[in-house]
Amino acid sequence: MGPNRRDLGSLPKGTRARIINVIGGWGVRQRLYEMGIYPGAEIVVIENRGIGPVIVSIKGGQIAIGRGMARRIIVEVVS
Amino acid sequence: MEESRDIDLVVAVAGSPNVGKSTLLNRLVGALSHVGNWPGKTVDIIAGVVEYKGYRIQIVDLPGTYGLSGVTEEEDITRKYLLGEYGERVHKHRRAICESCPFHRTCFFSQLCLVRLFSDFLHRKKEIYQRIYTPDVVLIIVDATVLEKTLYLAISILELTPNAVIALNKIDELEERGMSIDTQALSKRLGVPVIPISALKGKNIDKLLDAILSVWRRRISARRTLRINYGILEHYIQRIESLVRKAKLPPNYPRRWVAIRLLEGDHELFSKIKSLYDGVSSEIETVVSEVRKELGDDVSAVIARIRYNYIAEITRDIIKKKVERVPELSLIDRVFTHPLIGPIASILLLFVIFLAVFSINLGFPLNIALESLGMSSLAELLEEYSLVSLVDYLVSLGIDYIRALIEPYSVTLASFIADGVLGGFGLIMTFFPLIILVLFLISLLEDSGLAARITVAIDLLFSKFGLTGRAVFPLMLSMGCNVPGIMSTRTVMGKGERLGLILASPFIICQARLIVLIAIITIAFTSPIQQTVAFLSIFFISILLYLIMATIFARIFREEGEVRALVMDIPPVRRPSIRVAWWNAWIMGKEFIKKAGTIIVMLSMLVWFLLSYGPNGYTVDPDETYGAIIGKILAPIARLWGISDVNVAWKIVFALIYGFIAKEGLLVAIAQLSSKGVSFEEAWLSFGLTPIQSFAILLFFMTYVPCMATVITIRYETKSWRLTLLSIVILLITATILSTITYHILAIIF
Repeated sequence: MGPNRRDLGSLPKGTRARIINVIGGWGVRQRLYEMGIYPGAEIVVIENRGIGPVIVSIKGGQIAIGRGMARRIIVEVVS
Repeated sequence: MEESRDIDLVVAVAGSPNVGKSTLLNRLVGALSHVGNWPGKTVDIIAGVVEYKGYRIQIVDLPGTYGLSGVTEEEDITRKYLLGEYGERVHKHRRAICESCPFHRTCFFSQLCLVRLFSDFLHRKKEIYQRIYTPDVVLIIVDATVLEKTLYLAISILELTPNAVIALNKIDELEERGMSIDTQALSKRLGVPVIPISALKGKNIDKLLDAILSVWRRRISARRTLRINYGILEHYIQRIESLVRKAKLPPNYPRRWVAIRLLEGDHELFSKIKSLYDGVSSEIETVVSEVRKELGDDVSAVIARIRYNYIAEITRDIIKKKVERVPELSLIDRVFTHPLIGPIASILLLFVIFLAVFSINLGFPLNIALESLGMSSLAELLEEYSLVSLVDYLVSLGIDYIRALIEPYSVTLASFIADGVLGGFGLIMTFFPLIILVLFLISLLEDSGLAARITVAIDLLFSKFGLTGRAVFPLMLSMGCNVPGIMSTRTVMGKGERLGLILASPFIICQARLIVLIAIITIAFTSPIQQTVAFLSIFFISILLYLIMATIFARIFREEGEVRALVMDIPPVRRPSIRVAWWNAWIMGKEFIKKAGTIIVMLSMLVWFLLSYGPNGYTVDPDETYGAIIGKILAPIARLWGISDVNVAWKIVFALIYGFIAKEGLLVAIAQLSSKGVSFEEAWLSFGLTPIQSFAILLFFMTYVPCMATVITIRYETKSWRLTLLSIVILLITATILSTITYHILAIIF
């Protein structure tokens, strides 16, 4: 991972980031892409308390992502 | 029946979750009903008819999906239906019978109609696929407040068919925020009508129907599907398109769409092409691997990105006064996302709902609370005027009346009608209000956005088991009654998790079993400490079993596209529509009762036969019945718990069979089997069981088999007898192993 690259689960509240990669099987990736979680999408972390799901804002909608999945979403922090 | 007049056009309604699909359907059609099952799926086909300007329009409700990849059951259904893969199964003979019946307009229980059942039997091999069609028009609902995100499904469908209309829902909410959308520009860019509507307020529904009719009228003229420029991929798409042409796919498969799907890595479509014309499959594979070499392994990510960029491009200048708000959590969200307050608030909220529903229906658990506070008269009153008691009272009045009517002619027939047929019917009627009320409240929770927040708050507790926060709904509701608990799994997104929770729910001790549990524990154990320990251990074992079984089966049945963790849209909190919630509950509840009713009545007749007939014909002495014979054959089972006295063993087994109809029936059966006028307590004590034996039997009883209504619910929700049987077998095995091991371990210790 590059200097700015982290997994979604580690981002504090309020961080703006761009999704780089989603780790998972073909079906799981298809599913997430359809929900707006795709490489290239910009997200804002709305809530991340270190345990439980991470809540992000994507394209004006809010999505809760379970911690197990959030750790498999690689993002790049944008300032 | 209503469907008898010919339908002019078929409209399929598609939309992502939370875009307001059921609100719109409620506006469009007065009544939706179940018209069948999608072949091989657990999802129902729901449809209704709307008459507009002299046309009869059939509205087919497609399951909520985010796209058309076909990776989940919902997506697979939507895709196959849009491609015209499913036909409609029409029972011609049923129509003929129902049309000639004088009661057909008011008929509610046509599923129970004996004439129809007989006719179904005669025609069982002649079920015909009368019409196979693709829908004439697809109505795609998008949410104006999250336009870019919900347009993804819309453009996925538009790449497949040009005969579509887009309903831009929640336009009123958008306007309240001081924003507007240039729908005409959007319509021009997408090539289909875009109608701004408010399903909640009923705004522009006429315009929507007009647009549907106009699309339908010009559907014959050659129109093209939406063409997105895939840039660097275009060259490859065209190469695959020309290869696909050779495979001679049916005309309803647009070649360009197929080519794009193949690039995305769709193996189902690939094997379909391979089976049609194997010659091109290796060439297609070559092209796909060339693309991978150029763009990396995940071509589907590139395609998704191009689609979203396309959406961003076409919507960029049409949303007016777009204020870039910094997203923030509302107060409700701050409560529910708090790591400590969130789960507590969720459980409290669910508990209050649980308390309200079950207290209205059964008096339970409020009656026990009142009793322990010393207000036993109030507790009794509550129990007496609970919905179930009232329904029970009315049903038994009716049953007694009919029994008295027939008894002078034939005691056997009177018992058959009263206990066998009407007894089963009464059982359904006592379930009906419970089911409707639970479904109604669940719908309200969903619609208000609170269900999503509860799911998020509770997720932490279940994620360790590979489940999501959704598992809390069946867990809580099953404690009252397994039937609505299992029905509440409908809101679970993944098929694997849903089946896992369905199969696990019967492990939860419902109130009927709780009554038996408390009754036997208080008799078998004398000290309050022992009673409490026995009760709590059985209670926690049941919850543990629920979690273990749900985890195992969720893993076994997991679909390819099922995310192991929670990934869920959180809709904004809003005031729920009581009308829509009630409508949803009514449709689901009515359909369930219709389907389950037939089978419950038949099973009730069978059990009646076993418990009142013997080798010497009809008998009132339980000892002489076939049930007793079965009980005696199966009596050696009781040796597992160290009971070798056959006279005691068969009674327990017999009572267990009785408990299948309804779990509390066990108490009645044991009292009945002993000499007349003996209370349950005396009957149980006369068995001379040790506390450990009682405990083992209780452990067995708690999980040995779901009650009749639960079995039917499992069948109804899974659409599969095999899974239903699997559920029973697992319960039986678990109960046997658990109770035997516990008995022997405890017998050694004490």
